[in-house]
Amino acid sequence: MLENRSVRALVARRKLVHGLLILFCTFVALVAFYPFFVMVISSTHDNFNIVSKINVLPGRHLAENYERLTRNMNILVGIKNSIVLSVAVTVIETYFTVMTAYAFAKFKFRGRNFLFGVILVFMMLPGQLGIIGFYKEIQALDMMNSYFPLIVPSIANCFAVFFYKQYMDTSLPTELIEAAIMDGCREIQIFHNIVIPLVKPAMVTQAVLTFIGTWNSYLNPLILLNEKEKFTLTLMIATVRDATNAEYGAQYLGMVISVIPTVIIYCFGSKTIMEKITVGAAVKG
Amino acid sequence: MKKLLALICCLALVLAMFAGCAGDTSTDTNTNDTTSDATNDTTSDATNDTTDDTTDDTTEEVNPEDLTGTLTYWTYTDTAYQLTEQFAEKYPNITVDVQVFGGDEYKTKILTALQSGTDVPDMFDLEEGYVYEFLDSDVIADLSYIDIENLTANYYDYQKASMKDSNGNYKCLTFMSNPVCFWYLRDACEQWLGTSDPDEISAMITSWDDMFALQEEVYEASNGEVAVFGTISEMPKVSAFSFDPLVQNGELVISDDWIGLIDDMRTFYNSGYDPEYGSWSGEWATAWNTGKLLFRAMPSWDYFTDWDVNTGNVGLAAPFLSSFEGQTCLCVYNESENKDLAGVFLSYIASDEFQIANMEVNNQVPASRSAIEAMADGYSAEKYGGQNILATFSDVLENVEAITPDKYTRSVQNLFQNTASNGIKEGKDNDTIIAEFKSALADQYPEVVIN
Amino acid sequence: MWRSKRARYAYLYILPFFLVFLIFKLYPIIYTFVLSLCDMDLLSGKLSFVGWSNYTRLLNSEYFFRSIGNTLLIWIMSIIPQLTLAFLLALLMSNKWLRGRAIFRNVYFFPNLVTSVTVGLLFGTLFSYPGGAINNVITAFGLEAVDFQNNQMLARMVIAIAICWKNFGFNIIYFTAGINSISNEVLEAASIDGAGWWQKVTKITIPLMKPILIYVMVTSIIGGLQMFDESKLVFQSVPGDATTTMIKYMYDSAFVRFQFGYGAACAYVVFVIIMFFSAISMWITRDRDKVRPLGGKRGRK
Repeated sequence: MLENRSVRALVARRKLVHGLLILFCTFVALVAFYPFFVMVISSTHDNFNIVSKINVLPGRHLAENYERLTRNMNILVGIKNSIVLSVAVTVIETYFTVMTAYAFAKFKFRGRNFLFGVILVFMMLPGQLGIIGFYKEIQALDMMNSYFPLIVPSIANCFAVFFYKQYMDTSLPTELIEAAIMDGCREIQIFHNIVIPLVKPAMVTQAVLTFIGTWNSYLNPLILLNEKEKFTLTLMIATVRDATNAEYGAQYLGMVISVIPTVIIYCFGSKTIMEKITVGAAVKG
Repeated sequence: MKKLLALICCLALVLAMFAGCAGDTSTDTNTNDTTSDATNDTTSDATNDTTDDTTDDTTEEVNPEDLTGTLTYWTYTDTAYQLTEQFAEKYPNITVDVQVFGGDEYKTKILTALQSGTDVPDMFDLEEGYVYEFLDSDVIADLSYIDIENLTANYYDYQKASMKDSNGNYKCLTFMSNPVCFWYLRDACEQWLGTSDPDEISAMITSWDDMFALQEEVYEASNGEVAVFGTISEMPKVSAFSFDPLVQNGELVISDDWIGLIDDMRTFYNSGYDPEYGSWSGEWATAWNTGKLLFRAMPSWDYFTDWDVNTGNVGLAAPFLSSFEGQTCLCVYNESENKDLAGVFLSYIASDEFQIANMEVNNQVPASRSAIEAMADGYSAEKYGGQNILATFSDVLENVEAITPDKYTRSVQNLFQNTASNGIKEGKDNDTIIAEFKSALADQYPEVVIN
Repeated sequence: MWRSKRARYAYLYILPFFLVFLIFKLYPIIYTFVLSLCDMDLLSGKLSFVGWSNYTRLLNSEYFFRSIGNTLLIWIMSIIPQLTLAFLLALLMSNKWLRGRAIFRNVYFFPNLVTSVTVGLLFGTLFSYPGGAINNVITAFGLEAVDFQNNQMLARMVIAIAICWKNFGFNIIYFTAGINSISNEVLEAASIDGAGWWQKVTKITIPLMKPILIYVMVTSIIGGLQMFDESKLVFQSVPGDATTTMIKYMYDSAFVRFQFGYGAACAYVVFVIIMFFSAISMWITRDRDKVRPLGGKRGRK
């Protein structure tokens, strides 16, 4: 009897704690969601309403903003270009950086520590000033106005290599690879059939971020692309506004259109990111 | 075998040449019916060849339809399409290929292109904020080749001055003015000042002292509800262009006018009537649109008016000192193969014909005095309660000092404005503010001589 | 496993990375270094050698040193709440009883999808004086409205809040990836042994996800010390340039005043500073004892 009551009290206390925690999570979620909401609402307002107050109710300028946004450009072309570029960068970067990280995590070779140190150090260089040299180089190589210099350099993403290497340190069991070697697997098979499936959650994590980053990137495409037929959506949206001509409403509408694909990608990706790994069982079994 | 191959190659080449010519004529007929959509897509090299022949005699009277060719034009705002649409109506066979690169980093883009000398457009826009960093260079064409002095003979003096580089050569073309006016709401001014007539209002305020007196009067009458002027940081916007530039020939010269401006700003701040709105802030815009603030100093491209509510209720008064903000400057690339054709484009943009159309379609105030005068006669703007705003603009523009800015003019002015505003708010005296200003300037531009 | 015969595969694996790295990453960085020893003629792009004068100018600039101080202050104010919040929420969301986890984890990432222009405009409006949303709340409690923009420390705090708000969701993802890489068996075994929630977190979760924690920490330092967008966009002018960060100072020198050589020197000094702080963080988190607790990466039982 006594025991029963104390168990019940324990359950009640736990429920209370859980309730409070859910309340906390909801509060943070609201704070996180609010500006997103404002962005959507702002796309239906005119300049004055956007700069002067924070709007909660939709305005009446959506059609006008849409007309302004699409007056001089074909958004569909922009979306297509953005997709092509982002997918290409994501696939190529993910594949080669996982490969590099795998070598650093599971092989011992001469120069390993030095080369990994180089990667760490290059992560710390501020990106902004390498760009002048980068553009000069691209011009010298005659690669302007193509997607090549936007896609290929992403292979050398030091952050991604560092992340995968850290992840493999915890969750890629060396035993599995050793067993595969025993079974006579070829190197590249081990990489494709064992390593990649096991680091999938990390890959999706990084890939989603890469996709979003590429989708939103502005400076590199702006400087490297010369024709509007090749422009990404982000570049197209930027054309709506300048210092003397603030078309905030149209700009916000553009941002909303631009953010939708990234939201979809993220929501799909986050499922895989949250997957619990079951490596342990696989190794022992 | 080899000979046969060579023969085939030659044949193919000749055929290709014919095909090129044929393609040339076909694009010409195309552009006759459609205007910008089709023309933007064509990038033909063949047309460039014909350009050189035709443009040799552009100085004589030529039928606009006889000119053919393609021009590349880079800019940072898509209002440029409206320029080229109007141009296409008059010169249907010249294709202007507009590429818009929006955002803050357009200047980096144009800079890297100019440095490399490849993929450079024939013409490009530069913004007032950085154009004077660029103008002295040889890669930007001296516009005397299109007789620019004649073309812009009717321009306002300050416009002419602003198109020159530091050696006095015309290096860029402006085509719109951005006069700063006092914006007010007619009903609010009627209520508190007893008039909504722009001239009477201008006559009422002839100095900052008048403004402060009015501020006090209205503040007391409205029990602190209504302010006349919103913030000290807006004061340099009105005054600064009437003063001698702070940096002249690479040397810092702080004239008494500038010290006087700090004193005026402090007087206002300490008067107890300064509502301390942030310049261009939400509160500032809302207060003005609801009649809680009577004046704000804004260029003609203002975007803080709530037109849903205040259409027909807005008035513009000429301030006691004249200034402008936000020029677009059109330049020609010196190495361009289409320099002559670009000249045709610039000549058209400089014409009253274009600038009048530009005002009618895009609300961009002409840079040419004669264009404004031609329109101002009997002009009435409905959104502004039927006011002849062009006459008001003309009053302002006529009085802007004709100085040729350099790369320091605007940025040093901004530095002064920030240092002064912040210093006054922190209760610093003039010497401290000037000392701070000098040290910040020395850090930003170490080459400037400071005494 | 580690025999040298296999090592040649490692070179093949890292070959594409380092090939691209040499061509597209190393060259620009070397160019930047050369640039930092020169002055650049703006439109011709010609370089004239000036020796170390850009560096001496930089090291004599009190404004640059002030920007270092600003960066560190804003960084500390943003990094601590940001990582704490992200870690707690990541832990919470690894619990099965939490309903709507999918929605929460998606929404938490939304601030990262909003462009920095929006963030700047929005925080400027939220914290504006005297009628911004935050000040409306403050005055509703009968307190006096606060002029955030004109108070150095408060202005920095607003920037820190903006950064924290923008990035906590980003860190949740990495933390989640780390937490989920820990196999269930280890946690279950601990539960059977009678370990409480707190014990499980401190004795198992944190030690086991240490590599990921190091990653998040190092990248937070690197990203945090390079903060720029918020500094540029939230407030137009703050007294004493209190919100000017190192990268903002560099950006203004190079891309506003077009002093590319000076900007390049600035970038290199910023690089050294970042390296210094990253090295400290790596040294603190280094493996002191090589023995890993409770079934480390080898996962043997």
